[in-house]
Amino acid sequence: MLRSDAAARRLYQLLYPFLLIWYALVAAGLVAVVATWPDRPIGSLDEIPWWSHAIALAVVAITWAPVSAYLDRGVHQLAFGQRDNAYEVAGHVSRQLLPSVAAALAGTMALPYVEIESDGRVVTSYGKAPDGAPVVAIPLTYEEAPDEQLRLGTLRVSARRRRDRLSAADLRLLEDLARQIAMTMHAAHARERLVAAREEERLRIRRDLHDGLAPTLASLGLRLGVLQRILPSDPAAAAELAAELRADVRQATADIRRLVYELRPPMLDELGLVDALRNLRSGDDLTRTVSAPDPLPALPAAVEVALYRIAAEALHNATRHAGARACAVELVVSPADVTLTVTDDGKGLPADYLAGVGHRSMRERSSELGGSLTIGDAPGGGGTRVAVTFARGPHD
Amino acid sequence: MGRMTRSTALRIAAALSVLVAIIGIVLFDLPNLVLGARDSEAPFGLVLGSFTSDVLALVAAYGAWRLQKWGAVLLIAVNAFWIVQAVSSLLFDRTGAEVLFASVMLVHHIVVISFCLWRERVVSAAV
Repeated sequence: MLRSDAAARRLYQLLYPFLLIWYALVAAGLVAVVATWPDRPIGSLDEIPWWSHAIALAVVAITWAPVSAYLDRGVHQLAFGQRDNAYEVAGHVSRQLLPSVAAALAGTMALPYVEIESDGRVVTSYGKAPDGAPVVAIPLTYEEAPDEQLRLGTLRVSARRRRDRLSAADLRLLEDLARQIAMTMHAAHARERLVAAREEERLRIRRDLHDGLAPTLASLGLRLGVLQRILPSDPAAAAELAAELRADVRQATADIRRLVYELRPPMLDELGLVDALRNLRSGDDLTRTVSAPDPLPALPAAVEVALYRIAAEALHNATRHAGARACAVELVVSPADVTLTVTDDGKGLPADYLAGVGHRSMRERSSELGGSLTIGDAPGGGGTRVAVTFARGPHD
Repeated sequence: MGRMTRSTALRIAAALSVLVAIIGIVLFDLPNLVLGARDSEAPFGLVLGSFTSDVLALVAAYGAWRLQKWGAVLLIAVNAFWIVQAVSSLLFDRTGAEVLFASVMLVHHIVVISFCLWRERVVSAAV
């Protein structure tokens, strides 16, 4: 890209003076044609009168400013317009991370000023806008779902020179590149969210181990020492202490199981996803039907956990909030994606429905893995339908 | 600048140049090349130069049609050369037909160069 940028500059430096000189010569030639018209054809250039050259000089001097400006703009556009290798520019930009995208964009399109703004603050900027040069703002939007545009920020670029607007082709290319920048920003945001979620998970596990299990085990150790000391002298007290210790060990074991369950439900490994869904406890006598392909194709572990958790939350909501008596869980797997649908026969979503913690949790689990979640009324009226779709493959 | 897109302008420039190059090859270059250096009606150096520029124009037109930068640049160069030829023809040729042809070609070459340097009208710019 740097080489092509240098080539563009060299082309501009060569072609612009060439066309200026050529214009002066052609103007001189045309004035000579007019000046010698009564005597044409002439035999040699020597027959052109001297005043023809003087008039030509005056014509060139008078027309110099507009013609040179026109040639300058045209050659500049031809050299730096970059429309020949738009895909090269796009590929180059997409490989850059945000801090260097602005510099890459400025370098590749010969733009003096590029700024990327997100959440009301300037994320990065490059160069300085020339005085009087118009600045164009292009929204950075990402299409999360059909008809669902997510505004991530704004790309601002200035024209190349004073009073010289960017061409329509430049704007089209910038809009294409803005989409790529938005994708880069969206990916960066998603990565930040994943890292944050992972760190929160680590903190929670650390807290559970440090504040729960560690003191319990330390206490057990101390009390086992007491038990050892009193066992010969006071067997009755020792037996009572042993009973307490046994209860504490059970509690510690339950804590460990809970921790393990929260990391990954053991049922998924023991029974597989379909049977784990069949054995999900919804808290009461909810009638449940589970349909899934047999055998179920292998799914990424993270997708299995997300499907299981979302189904568990949907069943919980059906029982607790919707008063449902029956629920249908359907798993559909295609080569491209996997879709889980949970449909209940409860009272459905209220008219003034606002997403609660459970729904937000389902949405977060879905978006963490790039899935799409829809929560709405069940087909046929009455009840609620929760559907989540994940792409297959990239999460392996 | 005009409403015409740059790609359209480049393609029109390419088509115009192909037309002129083919006319030049068929009506001037090939007959004189067939006659040979001794019997050529025009100076043979001029014939060779004209043939070379016509072939270059065809190559340039291909590049310009594909919206390649090198095609537009080569087309500018060839038409700049042809303009010098046209002005020379206006100065030195004798018949009215030759002068008329040179005048038409002069306009043609200026139009082609203008199309090669075409800048599209800015349709939207939010500040």
